[in-house]
Amino acid sequence: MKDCYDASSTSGAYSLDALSAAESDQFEGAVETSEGLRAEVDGFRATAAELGLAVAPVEPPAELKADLLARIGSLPQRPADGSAAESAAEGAASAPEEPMTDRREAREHVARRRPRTGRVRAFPALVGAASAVVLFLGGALLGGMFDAVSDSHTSDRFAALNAAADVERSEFGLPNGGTASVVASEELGYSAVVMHDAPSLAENQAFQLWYVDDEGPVSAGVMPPVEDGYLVLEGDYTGGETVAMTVEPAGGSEQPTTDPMILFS
Amino acid sequence: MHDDVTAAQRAATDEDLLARVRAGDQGAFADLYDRTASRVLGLVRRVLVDPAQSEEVAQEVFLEVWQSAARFDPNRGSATTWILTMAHRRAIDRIRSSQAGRDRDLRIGVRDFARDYDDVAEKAEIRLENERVVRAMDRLSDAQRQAISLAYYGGLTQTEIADRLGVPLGTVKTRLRDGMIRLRDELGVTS
Repeated sequence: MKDCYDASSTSGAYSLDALSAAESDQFEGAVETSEGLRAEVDGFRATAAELGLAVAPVEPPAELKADLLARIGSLPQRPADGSAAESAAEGAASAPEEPMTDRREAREHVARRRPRTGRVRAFPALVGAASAVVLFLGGALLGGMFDAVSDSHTSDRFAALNAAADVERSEFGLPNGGTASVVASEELGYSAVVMHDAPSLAENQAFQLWYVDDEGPVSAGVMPPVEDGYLVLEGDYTGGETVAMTVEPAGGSEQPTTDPMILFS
Repeated sequence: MHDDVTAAQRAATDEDLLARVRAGDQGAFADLYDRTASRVLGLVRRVLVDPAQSEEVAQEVFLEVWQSAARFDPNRGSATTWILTMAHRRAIDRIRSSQAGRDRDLRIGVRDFARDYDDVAEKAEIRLENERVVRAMDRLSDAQRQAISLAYYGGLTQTEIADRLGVPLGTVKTRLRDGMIRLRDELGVTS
């Protein structure tokens, strides 16, 4: 008996995380082969969770949530299957340090956002392309916009938007593939556009976003031609606006010069 | 796991949210965070003590919730249990991997369990859970209660507990297991 590892006597310590890593591995090996042991551990885990719930809750700072929401957008999710060994290995690697480079999976998250279907309607002919005044705002502004995407203030705002209680989302299929989604909150008073698999544009072109109301379109910002990315729109979203997008010269235009795509109305 | 209706309904909804998180629903993740974050941080703070490190660990826990939602198995317990299990394990890992953890003031043995209970007495639901747990803990022998507190709240390994108390390892194992059986039955945990 002395040389025989008695797993059943260790279930309490295991459930309370009171084993060393080596002891824990040994115990998990034993659990694999014992239905009874597994059931006991499950019951002990639930019991330990009660101990966890019995301590005073501590309200985390708001930044914690905003930061999390900003990060998960680009953090791939793991598949359901996974051996104990695999899980243990992943547990050892600190989750937040993992690279977030699986672009395909990250994109799938964007695609999964529920499209608000049936709301795309014809855009009134706002555009007199021939007579439109094309104003080049210059490369400096374009660079500034793009930098803003990784700016923490911007990512906080974007995260807050995604977490807003009244958040509305709509997804618009772009004519040449990919989607542009609008995320908007009347409560927060702003919106953002998320590009997913966006088609490439000519070198000197960019996407420009517009808020459109009875007075006509007002520029809400210029987004450089990125395949995947987002732009928090300039200006207020009060709930009644239409969000439109056009392809414009790189620095943006004062008024739309191409046919607008209605992303959200 | 809970015998009051509110807690049972709440638990059911957490599982729904987790299923949506699994499908990549960021809004569901935000909701699940709102429901559980103060519990996760409360537990991690209790174990780790240091506020800044505790927030880091709480964040790691939620990143794991996001990444591993597909691995949650509802047949093995509630969403709350799953999340708090991860929170506890990560807090413990942090203690054991850092000098800060070793230097940490191990006040657990002398901390009065009732203090946390008083802190949250204004929240009816939490008070109820606490009363149940405090009552259940009262049913354990002093030796069992001490061993479980040193392990769960103190973050000590079974070997460290044996050293600290000057008792054989086998005795500690028995106290932990018998204590957990008693606690499970007193709390009416079914699994």
